[in-house]
Parts: sequence; C-alpha cells; structure tokens
Amino acid sequence: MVRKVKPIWEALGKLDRRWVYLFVSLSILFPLLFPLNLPLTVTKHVKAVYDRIENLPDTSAVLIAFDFDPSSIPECLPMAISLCHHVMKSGKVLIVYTNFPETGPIAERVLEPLAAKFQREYGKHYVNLGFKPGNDVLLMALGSSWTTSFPKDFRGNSTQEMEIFSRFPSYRHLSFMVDVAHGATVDFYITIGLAQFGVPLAAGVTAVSIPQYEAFVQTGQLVGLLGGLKGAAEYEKLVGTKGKATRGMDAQSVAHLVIIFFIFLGNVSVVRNIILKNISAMRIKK
Amino acid sequence: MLRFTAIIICGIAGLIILVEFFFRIPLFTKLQNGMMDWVIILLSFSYLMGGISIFLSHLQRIQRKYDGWYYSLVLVVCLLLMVTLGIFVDYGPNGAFQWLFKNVQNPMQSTMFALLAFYVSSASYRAFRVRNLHATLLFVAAVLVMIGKVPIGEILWSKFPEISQWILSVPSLAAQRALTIGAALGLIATGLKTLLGIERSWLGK
Amino acid sequence: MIGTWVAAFFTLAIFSFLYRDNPIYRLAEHIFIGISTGYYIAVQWHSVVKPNVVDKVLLGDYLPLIPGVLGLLLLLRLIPKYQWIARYPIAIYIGVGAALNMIQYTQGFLIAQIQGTMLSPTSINNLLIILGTLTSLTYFFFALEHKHLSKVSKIGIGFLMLSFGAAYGTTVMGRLSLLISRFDFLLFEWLGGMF
Repeated sequence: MVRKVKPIWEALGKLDRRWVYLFVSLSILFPLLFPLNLPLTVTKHVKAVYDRIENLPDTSAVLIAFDFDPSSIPECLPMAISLCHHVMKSGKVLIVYTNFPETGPIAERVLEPLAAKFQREYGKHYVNLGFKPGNDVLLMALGSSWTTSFPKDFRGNSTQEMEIFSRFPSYRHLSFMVDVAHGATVDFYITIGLAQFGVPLAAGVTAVSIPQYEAFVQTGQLVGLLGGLKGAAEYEKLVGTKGKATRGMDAQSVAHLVIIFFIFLGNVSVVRNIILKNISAMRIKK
Repeated sequence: MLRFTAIIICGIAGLIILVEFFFRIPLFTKLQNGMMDWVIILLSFSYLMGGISIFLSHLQRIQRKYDGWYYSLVLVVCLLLMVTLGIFVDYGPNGAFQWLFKNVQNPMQSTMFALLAFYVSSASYRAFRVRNLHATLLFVAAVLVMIGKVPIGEILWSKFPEISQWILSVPSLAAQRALTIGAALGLIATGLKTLLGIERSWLGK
Repeated sequence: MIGTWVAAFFTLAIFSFLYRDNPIYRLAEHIFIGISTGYYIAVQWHSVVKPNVVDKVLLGDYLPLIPGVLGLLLLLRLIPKYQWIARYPIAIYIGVGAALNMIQYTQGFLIAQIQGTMLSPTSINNLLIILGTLTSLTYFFFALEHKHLSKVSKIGIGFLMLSFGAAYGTTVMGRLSLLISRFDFLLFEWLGGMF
C-alpha cells in the first residue's frame, strides 16, 4: 500500500497539538532561565493610577480590594502587592478587603511584610477586613458603615475600637480606591462606589478584561487601568521593585511570538489557496 | 398563593431600595441598610447550601457504588477534614487549615486555569483562519494586540504599542460600548420584569 | 519545604491532563473539590455566620436571628418536600438584586456610556467611536427586520470583529501569564529550592 504524503503547506496546518504545547512550554522556560531583560515602557493608564495615589494628601484613606482568587493570582497578586507597597510607602491609610472567600489569607501575607518594612501600625495605618459575601449589596452596606458589615477583621479583632474606622467610618470617606479584580466586581465600584458615593476609582484587571474596561477609562469613570501581567510589571517599575510580573515579561514576549508564529503557520495553506484562486480567476478573465 | 406571596416579598424588597434611592426618606434608608445586612447573611447561607449539596451528591455516589465512587470518597474525606480543621481546630494563619489551602487548593486552582494557555495556543493554531474579511479583521486585531502588549513588540517596531492601544481605545472600545449599553438595557428590563412579577423563573417549578 | 513538594506534586498532577485523562489527575481533581468546598464552608462560618449572627445573638442583639433563620430556611431547598419554603428568603435577595441592578446600570453604565459617546466629531478617532458604537448597536437591534439595516449592521460586525480580535489577543496574554507563573513556581521555588 502506498502511503499518501500530504503537501508541505497542508501538513504545516495540521501538526499534532502536542508540538504546539512543547514549543509554548519551551518559549516560557528559556526566558525564565535565561532572562533577556527587555526594556519596559510605562503606559499612561498605569501612570495615571500611580500619580493619583502619589498626589493624595497624607491624611487620606485608600481602599485596595483584593477581588481575585488563586486562579488569577499570577496577574492580580503582583498588582496588589505593588499598590499596597505604594500606599504604605507614601504614608496613606490602607484598607483592604475582598469579595472572594479565598483571598483574606493572601492579603494577610502581602500586608505583613510591607507593614514591617514601612513601620505601619495595624488598626491605625492599615487593616485587613478579610472576606464578606454580597458584592454590590455589601458595597451598598459599606456606604453607611464599615463596622456593621465587618464587626470583626480578618484576624478576628473587633473593628469597633479601631482608630482607622473612627477617622474613616464608611466607604464614602475614602479618597480613592483600586479594585484589583479578575471578574465583574469593578462594575459595582463604578455603579455604586463612584456613581452613588462619589469615590474615584481605578482598576487592576486581568488581561482578558482589558477591552471591556477601556470604555470606562475613556468616560473618565476609571482614573486609570492596570491590565494583566504587563500592567503589574509597569507598576512594579514605578514603585521601584522587581517582582514576579517583571520576571515574567520576557517569557510573555517570547511566548506571544511563538503563538503568532503558529497562527501564521496554520494559515499557510489558506493563503496559498486564496492566491491560487485569484490567479486562476485572473487567467479566466484574460 | 404561595408563589404569589414570594412575588410580593420580592416586589416589596425591591421597592424599599428604589424608594430610598429616589426620595432618601430616613425610614427607608434605615430599612435599606438593615436589609443589606440581612442579604449578606442570606448569601452566606447560599454558599453553605452549595457546599452541603456537593457533599450530599457525592455521599450518594458512594452509597450507590457508582463508577469511580472511591474518588467521591476522597472528596468527602477532604471536605470533612477541611470543615473540621477550619471550624473546630485552627483557622489561624499557621494552622493545618491554611496550610492545606496554600499548598493544595491554591496551586491546583492556579494550574487548572494555566492549562487554558495550552488550549488557547492550540486553538490559535488550528482555528484562526483568514477565510473572509471579518475573519481577517479578527486575525489582524488579535496579532497586533498580542505583539503590541509585550516589551518585544516595542523593540521590533516602536509603533506596535501605539497601534495596539489604538485598536483597544477606538474601534474595540466602540464595539465594547455597544455591548455594555445592550447589557445594561437588558439588566434594567429584567430587573423591572422581576419586580413586577412578570419574570418568575427564579421561583422554580 | 514539604509544602512546596506537595504544591509541586499537585501542579504536575493537574498538568498530566495535557497528555490524557488519568487516575492521578482524577484523584487530584477530587481532592481539589473536597478541599475547596470545605474551605468555603469554614470561611463562611468565620466571615459571616459567626460574627454577624452567632456572636451578636450571644451579646444580646436578637435581630440577626431573623436573617439567620431565613438562611436556615434557604437550606431546605435541598429537601424536595420542603423546597418551596426556600422561595421566601430567595425572594428577598432577588428583589434587592433586581432593584439594585436597575439603579446601578441606569446611572453608572447606561447614562455614562451614552454620554461618553457624545463626542464632538472633530477628530477621526471620535468619529470612529460614534460610528462604531451606533453601527454595533444596530447589529443587536431586533425590533426591525435586518434587511433594512444590513449595510449598517455589516459595518457594526466589522467593529465587533476588531473588538473580539483584541479580546482574543488579551485572552492569550492572560492565559500565558497563568502558565508563566506555574513554571516560575516549578523552576524557582520547587527545583530551585532543591539545588
């Protein structure tokens, strides 16, 4: 039996998926092991968030909502770390809470070392309220008081006696908030936090959500936008740290090139057919 | 009658919120704040209901010796272990409960989503075909955004980041805005239908 | 150290699905569901049920008993015979949610987004935003037969395709970031910790 050999342009479009997996894996592994240190430019959306926090008076309170779960830690956690770093370093009061059950302990692991580094006192300069369900309903409730919905913080301390909540008793008393989110929670802060309580906001979102929230930057509803690992890396650059986001940027670059290469490879036979069709159409015309 | 009572409760709950928003009557503000706290508690019980439902369905699989019942047994043991550790033993940051969350749940949840990177790569290679004008537009936008959103794009051509940002903040923004407006209209209409008792699917059978 | 090994084992167990479905993946998957469900239950207890209901009642504030009892009624949804009782607590949050949606999306989304499109048509970008929004909206306009609007809505499809392409690009970007993070963990925290 004679085995029929596929023409090369057809074979290029029908490689086994595991070849794609292998090349994508290698495109990530090599830059992680041998960094290229590609230069990173800070975009205006990210700079706008940084500038807003930087220019707030020292007496103001900023909320960083850790609205993500382990599935989006790689993109969101570096953003949350850099934002908390910035708020604490610049001497503003920091309030943290989350709409996700998994993220209370993650926030705790972020805040503790930063507080030690910048000598911030718990309950006076920063607080981790932990998780509470409710999303938009919770936010409505926070508009009247933090302590009613959060009688205790993540550590189990009573919030009634905390200095932070006598100075900033409700959501309305915030000067700025950033929602580091992997889902639609940003919508609640736009529609309630900003529209009803007048608290300006920015968002740090996963790359998937970038197109959706561009429209809110254009209307001015979002002060700025941190998008995906690149947004996180840009913020790391602004605060002067080199975290996991910066480390991942080289791998991200090379992996994108590999995927684009595969997209072109998959289209070789399609483009060939289009060209052949046009040539034959021209011949018929002649 | 029972269904009608539920619809009335739903309507009154919604009405309190709407009256408070439009008229800011102190009594309604108080009612609204109280109701928000209640809803937070109710939502928490709905999480518990979800958890109990998973527990019961796997318990049934074990009892009836369904195919792969031993996996369900592992699931039930893990669930009970976490509940016991979290509620009765040590919820604190250094306890076994948080250790299991950090070293078992956390890496697995991250990895499950990381698998999608392989599938999306394979889909890019197999399904992204420039067969007509619309598919070509999709292709061009995807490639330009991919290349413009990483540092190497800027090295290859300094205009790539600008083009990528332009796609996101002009044509893509326009389409996303239409989707947002459409979704908002849909949500507002559904909300109104629910409060008026026209939309009743939430009542179940 | 043990934690890193455990995390690495489960990471590799999940990755093994890339080759094919296998018993190790199945085991890891069920451990994951069990652990996370148990985690959610315990977190709900500590975050809401205990501080917002139990502790308050123990201090003599009996009002939270009402939502507490309503919450217990919600659990009756799991018993077919008494399912109907769960409709009442559900009715409260459906009502609150519906009203909140109406307010939120009118004020924060609809009005603001329409305002954002009322741009002065003095630049090409502004014109494109106006044209793109209107034509894309036309594509979703089902009150009139599309043959009257086909040319306009075809332009809209063009804008939508550009947007979906951009969304595809950012989706690839996001998914790769997740993979980078897992490889980073395996390389530097697990293998790096060994050598």
